[in-house]
Amino acid sequence: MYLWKYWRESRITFGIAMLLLAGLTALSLRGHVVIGGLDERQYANVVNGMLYAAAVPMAIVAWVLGSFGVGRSLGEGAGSYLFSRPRPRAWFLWLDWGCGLGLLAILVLLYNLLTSWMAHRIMRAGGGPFSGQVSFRDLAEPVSLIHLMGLNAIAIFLFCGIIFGVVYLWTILVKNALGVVMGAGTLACYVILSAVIKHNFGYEMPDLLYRVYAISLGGVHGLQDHLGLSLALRAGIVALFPIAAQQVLNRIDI
Amino acid sequence: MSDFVVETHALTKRYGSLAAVDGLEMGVERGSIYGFIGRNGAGKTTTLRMLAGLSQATSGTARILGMEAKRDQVGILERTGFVIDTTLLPWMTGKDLVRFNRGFFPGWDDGLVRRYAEALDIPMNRAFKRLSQGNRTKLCLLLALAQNPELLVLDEPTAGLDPVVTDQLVRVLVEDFANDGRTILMSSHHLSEVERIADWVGIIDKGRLLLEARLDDIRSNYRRLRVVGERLPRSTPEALAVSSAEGVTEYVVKAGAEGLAAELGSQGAIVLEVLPLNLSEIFLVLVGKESHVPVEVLA
Repeated sequence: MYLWKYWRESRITFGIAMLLLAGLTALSLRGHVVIGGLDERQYANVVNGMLYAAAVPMAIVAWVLGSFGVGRSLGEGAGSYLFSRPRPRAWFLWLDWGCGLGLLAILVLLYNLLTSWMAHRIMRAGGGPFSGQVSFRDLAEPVSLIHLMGLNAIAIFLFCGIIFGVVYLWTILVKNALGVVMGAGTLACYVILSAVIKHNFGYEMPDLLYRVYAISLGGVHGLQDHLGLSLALRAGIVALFPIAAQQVLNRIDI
Repeated sequence: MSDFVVETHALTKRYGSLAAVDGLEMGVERGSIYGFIGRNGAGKTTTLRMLAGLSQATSGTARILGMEAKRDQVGILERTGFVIDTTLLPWMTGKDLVRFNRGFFPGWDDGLVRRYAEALDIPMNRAFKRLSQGNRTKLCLLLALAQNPELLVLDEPTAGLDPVVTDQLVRVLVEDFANDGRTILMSSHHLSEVERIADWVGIIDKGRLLLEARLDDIRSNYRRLRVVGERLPRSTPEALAVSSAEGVTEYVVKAGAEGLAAELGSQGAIVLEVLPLNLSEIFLVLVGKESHVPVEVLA
């Protein structure tokens, strides 16, 4: 029942994202691959860029989806009704969370499948020995496109999880769906603060979007060191937001 | 086992230095219709919100259906119908809300939904946000009744409703729900409505319960004495309030009016009349006073 409520509230956003995906698919089916004459390292850069391109629409979807759920209901004045249903407050929150991230997971996977398929077409059109494989400067063996797509999907999903979490937490804090504005502000502040700290102190704060490749001016070098540990740490950070939201929700008067 | 379905002990809610509810001692008997009355801002809604677990008490305890409000909120909510705000999920229709609610309550009864939707003439296919205030209130009540609760807690259920809708709701509450031996705790500042249906009343002001009594006891024991005389006492143990105007002194007593009349007569005073009091008069006497009397419970 509650899942149905969440779905009813979020289905338009999800539907628009799916339409965009369908549109991109249709465009790519009708389009012609014009990139040619690249060496394998240039292809690695192209593939890298294409896979990360999915992060942009996904970030927007995560930002909107974060505003659905309990915080929105509080803003609509339905909090008294909702929380006089016989369930702990945390139950509503974790269902929101599970639904939101579930929808995001589906979209991230589909977008990554699409972009990796497009990348694969480009590589095939280029011919040569690297169809289906991506070569990196510092890796002796090329990495399969599917493998890269999987890693990218996880990284983008965790990136979306952070955006979703920040917005969701804000909707609880301000008891309103306007938490989307506060969430956007918080994320923007983080990005600006990172830039200021890097500029003044030379210290790099973690990017919101974790890049699974080591990248420098010369292009893509290879996979990051301690990749699994880094992704696990990110997952831990993503999980901190609903825990914080739960602590807030359990303490506030409705 | 206690025969109170709601019991509070020293229940307090503070917002900074303001005590919205201040050491509330309240007991609602099983099977009763309890009218919880007070002025706007007296602490009625805050009390009910604490019972529903929507607001956390600063101190004190509340037990509902034998369960501690702080510890067993889910158990309480399964067996109690709360209508605190008449704002539901705005985009849902009545049918959507029924579907949404059904899974939450083990005792949910679709037969009651059909019956009350028809009896109260609720447009179940219209989005909640498009309903009139009267239909919103009726829908909220329908949802609470369909969960088959043992206790119904209503906050100002008839506020803003026309007399016809008010009458419909009151009939449903009294004739269908309370006649089954179930309990209603209802806040209101419509004294005539409370007087019409309640059998117990609690009067709250500035967060404190000033009076908790059976309505029948109020009717049979509370009296207003109008007395003329010299050097009349300004207070007596029985008197809730004493006032003088144009040479006539009025005593409002909670019991023992005959004894007081006899005593004053023996002192040379002339007792002009001994009048019964209605709830509205009692309320004005208690809430209109500058200093409060301690809570009085009449068994």
